[in-house]
Amino acid sequence: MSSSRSQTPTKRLLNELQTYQSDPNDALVELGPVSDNELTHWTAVMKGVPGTAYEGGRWKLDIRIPSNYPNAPPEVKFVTRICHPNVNFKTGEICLDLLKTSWSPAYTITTTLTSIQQLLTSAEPDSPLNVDIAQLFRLGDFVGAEALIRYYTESERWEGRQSV
Amino acid sequence: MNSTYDIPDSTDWLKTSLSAFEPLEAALRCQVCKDFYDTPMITTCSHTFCSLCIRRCLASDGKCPICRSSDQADKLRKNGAVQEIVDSFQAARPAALKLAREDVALREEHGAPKRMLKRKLDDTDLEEAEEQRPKQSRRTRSQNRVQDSSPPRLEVIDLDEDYEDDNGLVKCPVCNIRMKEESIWSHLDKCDGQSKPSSGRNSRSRSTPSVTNLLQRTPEKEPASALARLPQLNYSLLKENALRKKLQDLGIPALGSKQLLIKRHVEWGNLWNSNCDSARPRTKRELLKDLDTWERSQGGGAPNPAAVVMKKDFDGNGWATSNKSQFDELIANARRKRTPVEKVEMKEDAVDKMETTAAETREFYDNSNLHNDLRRPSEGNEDALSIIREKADQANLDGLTSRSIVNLASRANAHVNTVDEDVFLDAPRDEFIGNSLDSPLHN
Repeated sequence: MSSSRSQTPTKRLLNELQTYQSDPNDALVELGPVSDNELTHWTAVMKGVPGTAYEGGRWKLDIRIPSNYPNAPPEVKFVTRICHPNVNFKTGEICLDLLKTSWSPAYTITTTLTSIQQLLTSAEPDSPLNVDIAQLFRLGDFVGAEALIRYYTESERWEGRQSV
Repeated sequence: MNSTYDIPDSTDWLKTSLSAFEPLEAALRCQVCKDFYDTPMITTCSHTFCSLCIRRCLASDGKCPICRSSDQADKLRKNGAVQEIVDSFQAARPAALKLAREDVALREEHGAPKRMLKRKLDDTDLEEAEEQRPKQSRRTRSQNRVQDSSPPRLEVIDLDEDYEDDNGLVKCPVCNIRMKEESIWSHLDKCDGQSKPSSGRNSRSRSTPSVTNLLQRTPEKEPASALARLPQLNYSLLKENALRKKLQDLGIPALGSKQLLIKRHVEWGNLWNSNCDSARPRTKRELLKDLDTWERSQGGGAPNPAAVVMKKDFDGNGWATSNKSQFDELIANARRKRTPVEKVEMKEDAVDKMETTAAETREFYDNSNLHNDLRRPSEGNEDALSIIREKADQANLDGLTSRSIVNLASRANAHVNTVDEDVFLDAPRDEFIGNSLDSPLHN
C-alpha cells in the first residue's frame, strides 16, 4: 500500500508501460523509455490515420516527463517533421490544450498520444504554429493543403526501426 | 530495473481465461496513480480516487481529474465500500490469477473440452478464496447460482436470514448466535459480544461477520479519526515568518523561500490529511520520510540546473573539464580582440606615465571615456592571459569553486576590452598586470 504513495512518477510510469505492452495502442508503432536508466524520457512512433492525408505516415515523438507527473503534463514534441497547422514545423512543438491548460492526471502517456493522433485529423487552423499550412486551410484550399501534407508525410517519414 | 519490472496491472487478466476481470480490476484502480485504491475518497462529483492522489490534484488545480468540476478537499468523503472491495480483491487476486493462467495452459494442452465447467469451477473457487469465512451455506448457493454477480447474492442472503428466523430460533443481536426465544433474555444479560464459531445448523450468513468486524474495528479506529486534519491556510495573508513558525510548530523543515514553504506546507497537508482518512494510519515519522522524498524529488532539493554551480560541494574540477571548450573559447576571443588595438600602443605608453596611483587611474577613466580606447593594456595581455590560466588552474587545485574561474575567464575578456574596476582598485598602473589577478581571488 505504501508503495502507491511514492512521490516520484516511477511507479506509475512502470505501470503505464506494462499496460501498453500487454494492451498496445492502435495509434502507435512503438512506445517506451529511451533507455532503462532514464524512465522520464520516452520516445514513441506514431502512425498516420488511414483515409486521411496523413495516411501511411510515421512520426517519431520525444516525450519528457516532469518530476511531478501526473500532476503536470508530459512534454511531447514531434522529432520527425510534420506538416500540420498546430505543430511547429521546425521545433515540433505541439499546440494542444491537453498538453497545457486542460491536462488532467487521469490521462496517461498513451491516451495523450491518442489525442495527438486525433489532432492530426481535427486541426485548429485558427491557432496555428505552422502559418503556411494554416493559411491554406483558412482560405479553403483543401486540395493544396492535402497535397502539401501528403508530400511531407511521404518525404519526412520516420524510417528507423520499422516494426510493421 | 528489471527486478521491479513485474508490476501488477489490470491487463494481466487479458491473456487468461478470465479476461472479463480486466475491466473489473481497472475499476478498482485509481485513475491518478493507476494503482489499487488506497483509502478511496469520493468527490462531490461522485468520482473516487486515493485520498493522497485527489488531495494533491485538488491542491494543484482544484478540479476533479475525471470530469473537471471544481471541488474542495474538505468535501471529500470516505468510500468505505470500495475500500473493502479493493482489500478483498487484492487478497484474492494472486490465487485467482494463478488459476486463470493455469486454465489457459491446460486448455492449450487438452484442446477445449470441459471448458465451461472448468471456468465455473474457477469462479466458485475464486469466490471462496475471496473470503476466508464459513462457507457451507454459500457453497450450495454458489452452486445453484454460479453466474450471479455479487449484489443480487447479497439480497438473497438477506432473504435467507428472514427465512431462517421462521424456524423458531432467534438471533442474539450482539453475538448473532441463534437460540430459543425464551433463553434470549438471560443470554443477553451475560453476552460479551464475542461471536463463537458457529456450530450445528447455526450457519451464519455472510453479512454477519462483517457486521461483527465493524463493531470490533470501530474502537480501533477512534484514535485515527481523533487525529485532527490540518486546515488549509490562506498563504497570501500570511507573512513569511508567520508561515515559517507554522511549519516549525508542525515539526517539518522550515527552510527555504516563501514559495517553497508554501509548497512544503501544501504537501504536508496532503500527506497528513490523507493519513487521517486512512484506516491504517501511519506514524508521523513515516510521513516525515515521505515528505523528505518529496523534498528531494520535487521540493527544495529537486535538481535545479541553475543552482548547481552555487552548491558548496560543487565539483570545480569536473566543471572546468567539462566546460573546457567554453573557457578556451573565451580566452581565444580575448586574444583576438587584443590585436586591433596594438596600433595605439604608443599613445598608451604616454598615458601610462601620467598615472602613478590607482586613484588617479580611476579618476582618469571616470572623467574621460574618450580615452578608454587608448588605455588598453595590450602590451601585457599575453602575460596577463597566461597568468589568468595559471591562476585558474591553481584555483581549481585549491578547491575554489569554478564560479571564480568563470569570473576570471570573463574578466580576461573584460581586461582587453574595457576597464575592469575591481582590478584597478589598489594596484598602481605599472603593477596592474601582475597584481590584477590577485585581487579578485584574495577578496
